[in-house]
Amino acid sequence: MITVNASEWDGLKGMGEEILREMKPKAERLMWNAGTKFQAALKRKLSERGAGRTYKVSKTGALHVASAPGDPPAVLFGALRNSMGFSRPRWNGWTVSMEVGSGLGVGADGKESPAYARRLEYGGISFHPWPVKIEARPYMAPVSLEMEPILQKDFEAGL
Amino acid sequence: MRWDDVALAGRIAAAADPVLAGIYGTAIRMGATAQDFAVPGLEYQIIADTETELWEPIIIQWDQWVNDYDDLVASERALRKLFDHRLPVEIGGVVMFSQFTDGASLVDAPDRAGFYGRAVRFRLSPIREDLRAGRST
Repeated sequence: MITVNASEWDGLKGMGEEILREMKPKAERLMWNAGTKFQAALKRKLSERGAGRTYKVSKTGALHVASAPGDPPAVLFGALRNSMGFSRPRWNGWTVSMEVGSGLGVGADGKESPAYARRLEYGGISFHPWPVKIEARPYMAPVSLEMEPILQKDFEAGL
Repeated sequence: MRWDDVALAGRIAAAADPVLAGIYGTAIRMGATAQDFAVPGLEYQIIADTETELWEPIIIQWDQWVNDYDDLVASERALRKLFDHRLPVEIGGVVMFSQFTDGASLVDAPDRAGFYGRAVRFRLSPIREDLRAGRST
């Protein structure tokens, strides 16, 4: 069996840290760019017109067209859309990551993720005020699938 | 466009699985409306589809509605066995990549509801329609 301890090779010691130090700002810029693009795509997705039921939402009698099952949620007050955002890039060794989604934005309600964010994405049963089955109105998964090739190209071009 | 091939392949595979058939019987179907909701039931829906240079990734969500926790575990294990693979597989006659992506509870309080619900998502990636000959795999 042959064992090689890389740290004992002349000239290689500390080379990894040096490369990482040089790459870090570039990688973080790419991540900020990716986060901005992803967030914008999410907000666009959450700005589409609904194609579901129409009902009155206020004392003025204004009508709201809700989203149909399977479509992204139609905007009513904008709380979910405003809650979209992204975190700072986080490093773990040579890997940098970032979170994007609800609860990371600068919405009027103080960066809170609306309680219904997950329920809209996956669907489920709501018990308030009585048991009702809610069909999924996915918005994260479609945007994720749309953005994947775009961000892949950005990363390849940027590194 | 391959979402129809993939959805059909998934339904055929799930219906032919002995564990899933034992839990759900014939109640394996496309996402039902609220009026048709029944437990136990296994419902699937296409969440997203797109095209890349080579593949047509499609995300399918399976909603598992069961009466007890053991059935939920057995059901998810069977679904993962069918649709979570590291290498390309043939499912219902379609060759594709198929991988688990995520899952979420559909019922916040099973004790109160009297049943369990959990969604699991798989990403299935067959080759693009315009890059293959005819309607074969």
